[in-house]
Amino acid sequence: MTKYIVKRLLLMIPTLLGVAVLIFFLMRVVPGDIVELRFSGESAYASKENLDKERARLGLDKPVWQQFVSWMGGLVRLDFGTSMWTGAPITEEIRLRFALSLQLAIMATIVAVLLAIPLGVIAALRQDTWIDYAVRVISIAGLATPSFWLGIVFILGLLIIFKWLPPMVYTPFWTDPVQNLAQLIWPALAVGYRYSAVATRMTRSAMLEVLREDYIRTARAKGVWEKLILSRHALKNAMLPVLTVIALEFAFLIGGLVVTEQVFNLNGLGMLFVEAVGHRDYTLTQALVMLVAFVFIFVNFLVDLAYAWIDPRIRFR
Amino acid sequence: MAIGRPVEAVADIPEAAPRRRWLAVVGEFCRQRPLGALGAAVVAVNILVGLGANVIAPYDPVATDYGAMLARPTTAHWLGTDAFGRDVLSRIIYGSRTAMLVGFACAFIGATVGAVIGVASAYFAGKVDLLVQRVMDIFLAFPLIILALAVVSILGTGIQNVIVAIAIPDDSARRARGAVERAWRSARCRTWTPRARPASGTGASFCATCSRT
Repeated sequence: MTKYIVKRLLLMIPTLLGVAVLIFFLMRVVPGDIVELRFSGESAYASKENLDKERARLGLDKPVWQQFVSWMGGLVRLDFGTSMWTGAPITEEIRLRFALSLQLAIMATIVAVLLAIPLGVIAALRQDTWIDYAVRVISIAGLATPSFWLGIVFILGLLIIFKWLPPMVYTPFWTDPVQNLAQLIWPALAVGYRYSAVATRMTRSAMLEVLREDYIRTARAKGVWEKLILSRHALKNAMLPVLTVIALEFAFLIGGLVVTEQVFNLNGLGMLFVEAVGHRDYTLTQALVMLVAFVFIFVNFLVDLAYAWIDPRIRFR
Repeated sequence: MAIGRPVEAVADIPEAAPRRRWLAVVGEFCRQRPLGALGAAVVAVNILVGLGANVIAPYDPVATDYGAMLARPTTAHWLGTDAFGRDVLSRIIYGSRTAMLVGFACAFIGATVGAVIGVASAYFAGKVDLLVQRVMDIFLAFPLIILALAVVSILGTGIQNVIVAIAIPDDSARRARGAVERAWRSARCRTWTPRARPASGTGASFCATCSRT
């Protein structure tokens, strides 16, 4: 097992390296450049010398391979440098926003798991009854409903029915948990519903598959308590594909909620992504991509470890 | 979705009335899979609305009417008007063209290319498999939003580029590979059971295409 963990951790390196190469050259292929964008409003300063001076200050006058090497050198030391647009250290730029996105992703996952697993299990146990149909309609509706739209409906509904507007300014959890949760629970519900739809469908189909297995019949034949069969024998095995779906979705939520963040006036990573690319802020975009890619790879690694823990038949080499 | 459902019932329909057979199959399908039939109906309506947009839509979707900006729903504008006085209903009707085109094209391209890559990767196994999987990992780990922004800013906006941007990170390849692997594994330990269903993944990515942001 230790050998497997080490091997997996080592395999992260080529993947992250691939992501680094891809984003570095992708950003340089994208037309437009930060210096021109910054001076575009102030034509008085946009003389050739000033543009070149600014480029030299940002290190954009060096050959591309040199820029790449110096960036990679920083990455190895976990030094992401400073944002080209604001000049602030990138860790500063990202820290608060990452905390917000991470909290929202965790809350949405909790919402999704609490909804998806009971609904999926009930639907599978009562296959082709009205309960099953109701669950399937609810989950299909969740897939078809954009979460930003649901977010708008939440805000308007709270405002019209309860004459109450959730706080629109972010308060960190450790400053005021109540205020923080009062704001974040709504986007978490809006995103969690869509998220739960994916997980519900997976839970249902995985449960249906597992319930037909021979060992379930054996367990029933030897008179195991039905609740125990469901929780220990069936659900545990059915959780494997559900875990994968949850992990993929979680990794997506870290950097992928652009419109939902806008609706709830949240300064999360999604908005930062759009700003960074819009400004052609190479260093910030690159750091963000590396962060999101790392979260994705790491979450998947944890899922694979969980596989072995849930299903002891899985032995990794 | 439904696994191990009696599909034979569809095949057992008597051959007697060949003219009515098609209708009978449709009827049988509606009775057996009401949700599937409902879904097919929704998609069919969307396609029809998209095809006949210029006939059905009461107004030109881009025609502005500054006399009726942000109007409430009235008999003239069933769903009201937007900030430029454009008829919302007409815009939705025309919008189904874009939605259907992008949705189907992405799901089709993503699933086809993904299936070929995934099955090939599983078939060749060994070093090829390892390499293909690493490249897939890179694309999967890459944030979707950046890929989309990059494709659009390199190739410009436009429907065909949106399709490319959405189809690239399609994870059909992974699903297809997993399906082949599972089929092989079960072939080795018992009789072969074709439970590989990459098709359901395609459906989900189609929905995701339309609702994810």
